[in-house]
Amino acid sequence: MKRRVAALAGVLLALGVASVALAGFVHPRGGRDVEVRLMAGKFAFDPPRLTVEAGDRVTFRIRSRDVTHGFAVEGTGIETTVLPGREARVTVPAAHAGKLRYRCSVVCGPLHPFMVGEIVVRPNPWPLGAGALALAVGFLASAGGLAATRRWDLTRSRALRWLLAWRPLQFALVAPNLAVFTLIVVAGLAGTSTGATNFSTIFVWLVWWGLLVLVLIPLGGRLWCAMCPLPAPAEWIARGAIVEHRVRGFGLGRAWPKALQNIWPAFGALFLLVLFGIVITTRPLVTALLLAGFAVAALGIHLVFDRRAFCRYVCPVGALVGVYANVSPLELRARDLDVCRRCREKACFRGGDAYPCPTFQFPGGGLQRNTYCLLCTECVKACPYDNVAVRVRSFAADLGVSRGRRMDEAWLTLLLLGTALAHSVVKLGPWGTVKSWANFERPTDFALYSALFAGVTLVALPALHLGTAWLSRALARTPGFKLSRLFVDYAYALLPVSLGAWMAFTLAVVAPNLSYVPRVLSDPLGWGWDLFGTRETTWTWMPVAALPWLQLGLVLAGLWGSVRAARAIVAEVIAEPRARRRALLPLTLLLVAIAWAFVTLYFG
Amino acid sequence: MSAVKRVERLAVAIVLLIVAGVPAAVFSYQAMRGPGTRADEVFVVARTVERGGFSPARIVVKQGQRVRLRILAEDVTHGFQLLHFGADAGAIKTGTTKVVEFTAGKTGEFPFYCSVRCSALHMALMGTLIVEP
Repeated sequence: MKRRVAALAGVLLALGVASVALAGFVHPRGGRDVEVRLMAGKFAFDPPRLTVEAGDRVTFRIRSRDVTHGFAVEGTGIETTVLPGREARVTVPAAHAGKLRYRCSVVCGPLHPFMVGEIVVRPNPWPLGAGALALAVGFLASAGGLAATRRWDLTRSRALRWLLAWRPLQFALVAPNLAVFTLIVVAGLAGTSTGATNFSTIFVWLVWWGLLVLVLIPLGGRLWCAMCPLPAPAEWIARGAIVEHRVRGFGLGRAWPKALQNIWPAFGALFLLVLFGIVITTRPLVTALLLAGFAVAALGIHLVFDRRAFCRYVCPVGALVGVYANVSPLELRARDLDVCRRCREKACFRGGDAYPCPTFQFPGGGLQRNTYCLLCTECVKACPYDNVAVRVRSFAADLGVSRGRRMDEAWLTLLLLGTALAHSVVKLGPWGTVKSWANFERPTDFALYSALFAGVTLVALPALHLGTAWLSRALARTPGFKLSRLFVDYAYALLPVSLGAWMAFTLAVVAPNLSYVPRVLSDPLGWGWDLFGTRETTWTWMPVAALPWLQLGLVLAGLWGSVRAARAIVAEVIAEPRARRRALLPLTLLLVAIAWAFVTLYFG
Repeated sequence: MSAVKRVERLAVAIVLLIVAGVPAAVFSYQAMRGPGTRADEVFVVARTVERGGFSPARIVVKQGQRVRLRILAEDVTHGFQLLHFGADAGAIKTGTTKVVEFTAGKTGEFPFYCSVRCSALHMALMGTLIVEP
């Protein structure tokens, strides 16, 4: 059985690699001269997609419907400006099979960074090849034994132990971010309303989001929460101290309402945030008000309620980072649980020489997953037995922990996966109509977009997931299992592939827009400053040859992690090996289909 | 004063420095920088009419004066023409500036306008140069 699976996977893998790799060398069948009239308008090209044969030469005759646009083919030097009332002509050789993307290169309005068009050069091997690759990865991951999680204790290093126990550490992390946050608010409120040339939009949605998704979450989990400036002033006032440990602060210290002791408030906030995502990420004023609003909300909540209730229950970014932190290879745990059992003070949870855990976690028992650990290191400072360790471990190790899985986390996971898909369509896709709907240009259109968005993220995707759980239960012939439990348990298997998809999405958003970073550094408010002489940087770094492979690699790596996690989750509920394999099959197919959907969207 | 207090005071000072210092730095730099990058330069911001038009929309100079205008296209690509003095900047791409220079040879009121379609109200995007004797 195992050999058959391996053989099948091998064949699929070979097919996938061959079809993707060969396409580059396929002899061009084209050679025609294709002429296309292209209409540029806010914020799309018409026609948005064009299909030609490899070897064709495409001459675009471009006119503008409204204001001045640009036309630049990604990864090439081909660029032209399209002034209203004048036709621009440009010839693009479609040498290689695959997808060529072009984008507007003159800032034309809020959604300018997402104004793209596509040339599909046939025979495009990506959808089929990547599908075969995804199937192969799925089958390979679902076979074979599960390796035990390995862990390396970083806190064996004396220097790191000293650093983590050093009281000003968190303040030292927060202070630089507070300075950036202040500039973001000032620039958003007082600076230009053109998103592409304002420090606030560029630094929040390009730099911060890019670093968060591409570096911090996959390597450090919730590390961002340890340095986040938004709740910091609130926490300082509530504690009555910035650096030092004070027993009595200014906060009222009330208990957070029992009914809201979950991440449903954060789920609601995240839903609104991603629904209005297109508006928020392109408007400096909205960005600044949103961030300032978070800080004010945190202030109100922290003054009334005990500990970091905002971060634990309300913050949408915290919830997003929290569920994905289960995939990260960094963890904070008790070193020896026996020490915790004998411990009477429980200083990590109740407070002692340092503050108690701001999110009500207890490393000595309850803390088995990363979801709610902010890595603020208070417990390291509080523990009188030096029994808190920070460790590096294999990716996604928390997904196999059955204790503490929750319905709210499962729904948040589904929302995040649906959002990755929806934002990939809206922001990276060439379809201008959807962009205008999401851009709140007309309330009725936005209502339609909201219905579609909610339909995908809150109805269709959860229904698909529930159907998979049902099928899995039916195939395993275990009708006694509660479907709601499988729905929750299986949701955790979605996390790696959805994080991989977010990373692939973020890479494609950030890479072509990087040149805005030196521009806004020189002129943060769009007032014509030139602090570093880089205000008119036009350089673009676009590793166009490597980008699709990187994106594919991220999605496939996520798929691998997801199927492995699915395997561990199925194994813990079903004992009989054959029933286990049958139960895993629908889940594997769902995960492969998800990965394939992303890859097709990006390259198809 | 104990060491504890000193650390806490230092932290409070740093926080205040950040929260008050960043806005203060931004606004004082803008005030110091003056209206243009050069003393003899008039800094003109071009926005669509929906967002406020030219700023300033009224520029007053003396007859015979050498006039140097630096125009920043703030929201979309604009143009700048003041044909009475032969000044034409052509297209000014979003976020960039262009300079026009001319001598205000005659007195009177002269319109300048945007020469690249920038919105539905593009034709209304105008300003006035007033040359006083």
